[in-house]
Amino acid sequence: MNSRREFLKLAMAGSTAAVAAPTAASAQAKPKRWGMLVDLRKCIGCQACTVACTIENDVPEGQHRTAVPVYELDGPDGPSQAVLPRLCNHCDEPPCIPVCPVNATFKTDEGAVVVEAEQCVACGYCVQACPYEARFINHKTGVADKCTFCVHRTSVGLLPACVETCVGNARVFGDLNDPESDIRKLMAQHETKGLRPEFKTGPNVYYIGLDDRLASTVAVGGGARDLRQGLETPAHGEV
Amino acid sequence: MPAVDLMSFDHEAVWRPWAVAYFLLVGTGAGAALLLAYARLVRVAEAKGALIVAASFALASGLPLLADLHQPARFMHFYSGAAPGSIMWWGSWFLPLFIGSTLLLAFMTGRRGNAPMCAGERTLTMIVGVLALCILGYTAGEMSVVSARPVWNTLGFPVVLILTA
Amino acid sequence: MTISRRGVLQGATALGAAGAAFWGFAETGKNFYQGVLGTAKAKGIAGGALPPEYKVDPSSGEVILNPDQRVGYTMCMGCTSVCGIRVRVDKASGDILRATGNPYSPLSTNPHIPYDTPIKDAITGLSAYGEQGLPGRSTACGRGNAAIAKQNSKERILKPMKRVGERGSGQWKEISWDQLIEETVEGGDLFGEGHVEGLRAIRDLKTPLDPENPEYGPKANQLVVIPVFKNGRLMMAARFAKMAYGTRNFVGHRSYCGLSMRAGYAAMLDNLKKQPHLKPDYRHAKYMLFIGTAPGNAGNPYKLQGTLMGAARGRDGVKYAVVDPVLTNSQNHAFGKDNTWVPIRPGTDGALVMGMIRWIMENERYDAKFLAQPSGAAAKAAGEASWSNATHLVIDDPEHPKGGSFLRQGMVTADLDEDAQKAPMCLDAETGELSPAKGRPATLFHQGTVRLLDGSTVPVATSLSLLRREALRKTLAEYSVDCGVPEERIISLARDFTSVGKQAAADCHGGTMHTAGFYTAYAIVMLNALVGNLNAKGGTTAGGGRFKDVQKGPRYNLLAFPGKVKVKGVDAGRGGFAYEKTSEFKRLVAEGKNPYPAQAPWHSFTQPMGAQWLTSVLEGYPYKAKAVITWSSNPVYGVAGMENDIKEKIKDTKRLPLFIAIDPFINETSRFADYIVPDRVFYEAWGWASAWGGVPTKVSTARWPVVDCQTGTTPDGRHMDMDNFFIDVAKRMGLPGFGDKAIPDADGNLHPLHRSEDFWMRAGANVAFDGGAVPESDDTDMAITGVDRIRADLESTLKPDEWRRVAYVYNRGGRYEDAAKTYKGETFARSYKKGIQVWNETVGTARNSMTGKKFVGCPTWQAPSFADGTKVDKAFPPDLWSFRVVSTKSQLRSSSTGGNPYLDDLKLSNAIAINTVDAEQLSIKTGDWINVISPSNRISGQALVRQGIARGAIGIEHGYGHRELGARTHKIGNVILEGHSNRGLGTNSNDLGYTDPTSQRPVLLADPVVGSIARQALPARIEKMS
Repeated sequence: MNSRREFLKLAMAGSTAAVAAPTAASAQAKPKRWGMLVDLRKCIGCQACTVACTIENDVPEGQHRTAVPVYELDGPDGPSQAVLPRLCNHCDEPPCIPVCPVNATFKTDEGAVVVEAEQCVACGYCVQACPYEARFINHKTGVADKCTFCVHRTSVGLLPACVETCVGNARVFGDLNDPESDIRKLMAQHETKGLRPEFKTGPNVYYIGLDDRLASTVAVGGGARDLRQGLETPAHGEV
Repeated sequence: MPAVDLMSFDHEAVWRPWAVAYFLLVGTGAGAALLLAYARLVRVAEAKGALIVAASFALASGLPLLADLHQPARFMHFYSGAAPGSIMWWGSWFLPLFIGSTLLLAFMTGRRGNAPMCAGERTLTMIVGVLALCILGYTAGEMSVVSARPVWNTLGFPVVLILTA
Repeated sequence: MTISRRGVLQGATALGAAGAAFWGFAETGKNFYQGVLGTAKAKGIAGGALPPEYKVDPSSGEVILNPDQRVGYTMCMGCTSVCGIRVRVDKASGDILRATGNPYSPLSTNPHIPYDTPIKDAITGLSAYGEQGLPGRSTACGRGNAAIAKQNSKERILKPMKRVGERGSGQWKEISWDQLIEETVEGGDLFGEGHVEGLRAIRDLKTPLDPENPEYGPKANQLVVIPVFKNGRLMMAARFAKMAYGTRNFVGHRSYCGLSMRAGYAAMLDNLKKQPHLKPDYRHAKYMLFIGTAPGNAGNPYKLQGTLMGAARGRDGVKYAVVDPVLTNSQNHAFGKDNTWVPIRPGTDGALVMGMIRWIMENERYDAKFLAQPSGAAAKAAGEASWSNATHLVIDDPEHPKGGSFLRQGMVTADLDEDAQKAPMCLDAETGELSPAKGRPATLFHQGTVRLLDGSTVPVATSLSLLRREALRKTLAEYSVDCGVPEERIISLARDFTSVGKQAAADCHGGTMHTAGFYTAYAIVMLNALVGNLNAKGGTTAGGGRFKDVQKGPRYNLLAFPGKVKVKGVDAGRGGFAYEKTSEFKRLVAEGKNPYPAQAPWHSFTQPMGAQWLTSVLEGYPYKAKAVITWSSNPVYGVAGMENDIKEKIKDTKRLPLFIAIDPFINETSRFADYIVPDRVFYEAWGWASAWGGVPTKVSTARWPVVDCQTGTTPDGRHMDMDNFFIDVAKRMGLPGFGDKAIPDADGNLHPLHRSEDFWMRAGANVAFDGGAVPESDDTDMAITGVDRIRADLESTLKPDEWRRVAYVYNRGGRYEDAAKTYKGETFARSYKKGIQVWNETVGTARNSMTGKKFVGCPTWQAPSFADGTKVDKAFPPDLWSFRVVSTKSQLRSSSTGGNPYLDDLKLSNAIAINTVDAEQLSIKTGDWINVISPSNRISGQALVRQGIARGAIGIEHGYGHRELGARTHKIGNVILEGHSNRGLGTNSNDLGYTDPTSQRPVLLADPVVGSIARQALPARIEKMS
């Protein structure tokens, strides 16, 4: 079947060969440089991205390539509700890459930080090195895992799963090298910030409306994490 | 008032107890090797006890380290390419050299019994001592360069690590 | 972000425990082994990612399909919003890979693509090609993404089951389809407990079920059918229960979900029967006020409101406020000062709103031009998009026989034709003369007297005067004390709301499900009338409706058939029937006794009260049921106080002889069933749904099996489900409307109804032809969407000129009017025609069945009260019962999502939220285990201490605290279906609900006016567990 062969060719390009196979368009123009913008004003914290990513990338239970923590912040007019979609920042200076002892992780030509699964020894050094807690050793695959900007989709003309299903249209994915891209235009119109600037990692995930209290380690005075830790304590209710 | 997390996500510790076991074992081994080298350098003693400790701990340290790799069968990947930017890669060379040289030294010392040390053995002792320093240096450096972990990324941390070793 | 230092510490501690070593090496051995054998799963750089479903060429936009997958468009039922979704399926395994939005559906896309967009172009529009997929994205929410786990769930019921132990014991055996049909229809000694009447014997359409109270209707009413919400399949169940079987007792879940809101809107929109409701025009409103609703956090349509709220926050000049005891994601920190959260005491929103109305009246901030138009004609002449009865004169004397009614022309002028007699009267704005409401403006405020034809004089007042009088009954300070919102805040809300003309909108929903619910909702929605925003761009819309499906359409009529029964009698929940019309009332009057209070409340102008049915029929007032059928419905979990009231009674087979549940899962209600009939999950089912609200254009969402149904098959090869159960029961009983000659087409020819497809595909033909036929689909598109899988059924069921058009509709997951048809100038193209009822005559002339007093016909503030008017705060004084519990809607959970692994992964349990100051007084910290004690029950859970909840409120997120849906072990034959204790974590605030202490016969606590069940503002105390 012809279409099958044609499709497979493309799917292949999406996985192993993505580094060596720039897309037709970028061959002529400036190469693409992927980035993401999250307009926090639009995020409703529905976790569609979280679940879609889990399903699309077969991420095991208890692990996430992207997720949306929700915080209640104090303020002069009372408390308010803050959401913070998080994922790999696909940094310009990714601290996770140089520490890898086996050269299993690298940046693609489009700027996505990825892990070559067969090369990874899963020593966990990159997990330790990431200031964003964006990496983990995948319980199913047994190797270092992280957001790939859905490289298998973005390399075949599709959008990342989290972007496709973002209910608030808060996540904008695009080419940072293209001044006409939606992401660039939004960045030109709004002040944007990245997470943990003190690490000078050059993150390529930008936020509109990011409170400084969320930009670095969040001072948390209690909440869902405490609840989880105390969940098992007394037996309760009839089940 | 600090924030309340209404929705949060846990991150499990990636380095399991094995890593700690490794750091302890290899640290003890390297510490013993240093003592051994020092003792032999200043010729105060044969320091066979230190050698036994160094050799056995060095040998033992390999196991938990392998155990902490989630893909232990791929340990050869360390040697199939060069990653000089990674302290761990350096460590992957130091460790077998240290284990090997310490074992060789133990073998040599054991075989000669109470006979005097030959020049080769003395040189090897110094090599073991240098490698022990490399081990301590790399383990401390490995953790302290990780700026993502605030406790580790302090000037004092390598010192503490070496001292405790 | 939070950085975990636990790793290092944990490691250090664990080192001491050298015993762990063995386990660790076992793990290493396994890893080693897998590594050596190359069984590690991930290859390449994409991890375990799925192969993409298609590829889009970045330079041409051309779509290349993945031949191993297909993407079909159908309807989601992760919650009740019934969004259009695209479902990606692996062809080889038949498994669902992922679900996202349908770009043709306005419930999932903003704006949705034109309906005639070719299938492949729709795919391009979702892709990165030209960045089309960013504005064009079509989404599913977290729950909608997660819902795919339902289909392959191990807990699914795939074969008919019959209980073998006592009811609720969890002991079952599988039976054949034929045995199921035979036993439920014919009855017999089914459980070795004595004779049980079957459905055949119960269907008696002639004999009254109670000769003393003939108005209760025939014995057939003793079959009570409690279905799921309007999910697109409801009409098949309705066809069976009402039209063919002939029971009065068939209704949706509205009375326990959002009846207060629906009744409040219904009273204002002059349609208490159908209960339409409004939604803000999120796209153009400049100021929005949400009270007891939290768009973006919950509500219906949940996802679309979330998308539109996101868009609104991205626009300049938009402000909104959310009044809610609990801070939710409706409020957004990054949006800054333009969205505020107004904490309020549970159950007291009515005080806040009447305070706002008072300020608006006193400061004349209402839209006088709009309110002065007494008719549609006047509004048209004045350029208004809607009209109201603000100027109509009401007979303002509760003792007068016509008190609460409008003054009509026939009462003051003789010799008029019938129409003219009915005309409501007002005072002409220019002349001041008494005149029928016509094409000219009328006087807004007037209180005086009018001489009637019989010579008597009656006091009259305009509707608006009466509203003003109600608003002025209390001072702003008093309103402020009642609701706990400072006066300045009330004023600023009123000022903001009246500062942007018609581009302001107010909405409410489930937060009004308390014992002051009706008037609260009526007051909130009345704010819209005061700014005259109905049908206005940036105001409110009643929605665009749907294409004809089951009703009489261009091709078929699925609601009419020879022998169709017209149901009669009183609803088992005493809804929609006046107590004063009952035999009981008349007997008491004849005996010279005071007929009030009734034994339990009756609600004359509400709709049938499904939420009270189980309570009522198990009690036997008004009457007992002989059989109950629930379908995908879970009132025991979802109705506050239900479980406490019925959990023992329902086990008594004398109270309820037969209980059949149709459900894909065992839930808290079906656990008590005698039989469980397997059913399709939504990806596998047939149906036609529409938006409940919020979409200003026509919506008809298709449901069709985008994956194969997993349930067992009947002897003739159909999948076991709700449709086929009712069809086979009906055929065995010989009921009308089923079998060979059942469905009339437009020419009057009768077509068969033997299986789901016979019904739903013909409904599809109506959709495809309504308002102009859609084009025919070609084979290629059908292959892309997987509609080719049902091609044979389409061809054999439908007519030659129909089937390819219906395929065209299925290809697109429904039929959707183009977004370009939303507005006509400054108004909505599909506008609501009836007038706004500032005073509702039906409400204003009805009586409280417990006190005999007439209700007020316009919004007013009545604090939460029991049925007889006793204030809840009096019975449960706040110094002893210092908290009021609210059920807060979850973004992730619905009552039916229990046990979904993707959702459990995000949040396994809920908590009991209390305010920081309250917690301090009780020495409670986050994570402490506490008891919440209500008048009926106690629940235990972990405290979550936060500022984002009002003082004195307890907030409990809905969707947790399950006892079933995988939480409890069942035995089916010899197979053990193991329960998991972590499925039942958390608490269900409905467990705190209780029965009304002022009612002689048990009735779940409800709003005194319309009977909406009170799940909000339940009195409670907190105790710290030691």
